[in-house]
Amino acid sequence: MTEPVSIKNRTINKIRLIHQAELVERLGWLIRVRWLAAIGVSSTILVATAIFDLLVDRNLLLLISCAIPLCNIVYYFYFKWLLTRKDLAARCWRVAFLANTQISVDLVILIILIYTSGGAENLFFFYFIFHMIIASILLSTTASYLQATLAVLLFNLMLLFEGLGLLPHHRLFPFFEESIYGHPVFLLGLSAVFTSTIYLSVYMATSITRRLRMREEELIQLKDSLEETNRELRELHEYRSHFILKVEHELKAPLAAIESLIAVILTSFTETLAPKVKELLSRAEKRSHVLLEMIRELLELSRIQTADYRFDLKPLSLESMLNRLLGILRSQAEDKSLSLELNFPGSLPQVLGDEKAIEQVLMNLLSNSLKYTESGGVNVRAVHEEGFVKVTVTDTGIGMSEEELQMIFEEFYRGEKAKENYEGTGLGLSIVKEIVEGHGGRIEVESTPGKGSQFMVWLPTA
Amino acid sequence: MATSEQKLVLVIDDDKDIMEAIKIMLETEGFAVETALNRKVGLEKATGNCPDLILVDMMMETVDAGAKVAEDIKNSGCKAPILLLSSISDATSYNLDINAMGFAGSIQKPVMPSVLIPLIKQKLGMK
Repeated sequence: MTEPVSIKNRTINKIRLIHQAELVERLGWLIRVRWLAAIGVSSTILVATAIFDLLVDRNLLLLISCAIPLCNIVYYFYFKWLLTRKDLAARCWRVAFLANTQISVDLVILIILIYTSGGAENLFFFYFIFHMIIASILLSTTASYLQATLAVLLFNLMLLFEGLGLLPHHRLFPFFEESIYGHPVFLLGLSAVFTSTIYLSVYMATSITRRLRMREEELIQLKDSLEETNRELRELHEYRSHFILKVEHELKAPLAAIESLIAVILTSFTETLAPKVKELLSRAEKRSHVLLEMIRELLELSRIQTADYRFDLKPLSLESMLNRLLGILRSQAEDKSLSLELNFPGSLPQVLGDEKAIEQVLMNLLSNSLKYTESGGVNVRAVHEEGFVKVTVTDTGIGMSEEELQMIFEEFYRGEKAKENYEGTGLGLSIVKEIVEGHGGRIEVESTPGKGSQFMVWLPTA
Repeated sequence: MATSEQKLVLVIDDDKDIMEAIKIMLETEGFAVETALNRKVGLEKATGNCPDLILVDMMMETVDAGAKVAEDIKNSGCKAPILLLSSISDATSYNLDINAMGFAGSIQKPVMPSVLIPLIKQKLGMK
């Protein structure tokens, strides 16, 4: 049972690699977003100070905001350098370090900006939430809570030092009285709301991220196990096909040798043989020939019956195929003085089929009709019929009873009269039915004992 | 040994019985026959004394052993026509293109004298 464990390990490694690749990708995204953030911060300072009557030092704020693109340049080049590193373990550690550093530095720059533009008065402290969400997506749960703690610490220290007068307060709004923004209750309330908001944001965002990662892992595991099963099935199918071919060859080889040896006796030593010996050998040759045919047909039937067997479908002209097959069989019909006619009452569309398989269907039906007919003849008719081409093969042969018709497509079944007087495998019609139905067509048969049979095949048009 | 008028046919097949049957069929018709039970001996005999015609079984040690020995014989300089001895179903099952492999033709097993002799005579330009 080592195989499933190794598959699981492989999947775990794969998940780890996917997460690393995701982190690298998101890190690149964070650096790209920071360029926009830098522009946004500077624009906000310029627009806000121009429109509103604010008490802030615009130039100081712009100077501080310059730290954002400056740091981003460092991140950018460090990130580029990281991507060239081949040592995966070291790269992984550095990527995590870069992600943490970026967020921590962002928090520090944000608190400095807030402090220099009003401190407790400044409502931009909501922006800490964005960083918490980014941290929850990029970093581990522990690292996300550490970043949250840093944000809470920075903000509360600012409130505390301002409140205690240890840090000078930079005023923002002329209408905001010190009795409000410096009031201990206001500061305590602000601190409590900020702290709870930050931790709740991280809790929610990390929970969602964790769930998403779990689902992602499940999907990857499922995909891996499906791929594995698919591979095993393909191997099994290949093995089976190869096995069938081998069996076919191994079974056919001795029979081919028997037939060849009998053929030699009957031709090269014919003068030394008594007539009865010759007759018995001919019968032995015929029986071994039937056995050879049976092996070929049985293996072919087993090939077609496999669930994943696919026919090589192409548009085919039944008109030319039937003409060709009748040309081949004409001498056989003439030997028995049978008529062999072909009728196409109207124009015939192409059918969608596997050329070899359809040829086998028609050849089988035609040669069966010729085999089981001693007088009269065989008539073939093909017509277009609502999305199908219907081929009807009618003979004036031995025919079949109602009971025989029920069984005619079953493997190895042969009618009483057929068995008595003709050699055959009893597999031909089973193969015909499999092929026709495998093409989305159907086959029907009508027959009267002693008068003849009629096989009707419907094949879908192209 | 083949006399100067006799045409020499080399049969390469790992099935002793088939080989024996073909040998008798050909000898009855006046051909001289050399036999080889595997690729190696077949190649040695073909290069040692290039016959007038060669019959090669496709599936011997491997699925395409016949094609390989045919290629080796051609490369050795022996220009005798090579006939593939196999069943058509084998060739199609393994997706083998007989013409592309440079065979002059193929004979299906079981080998029947009525098929084998006329084909060999035709390939050798005999009446």
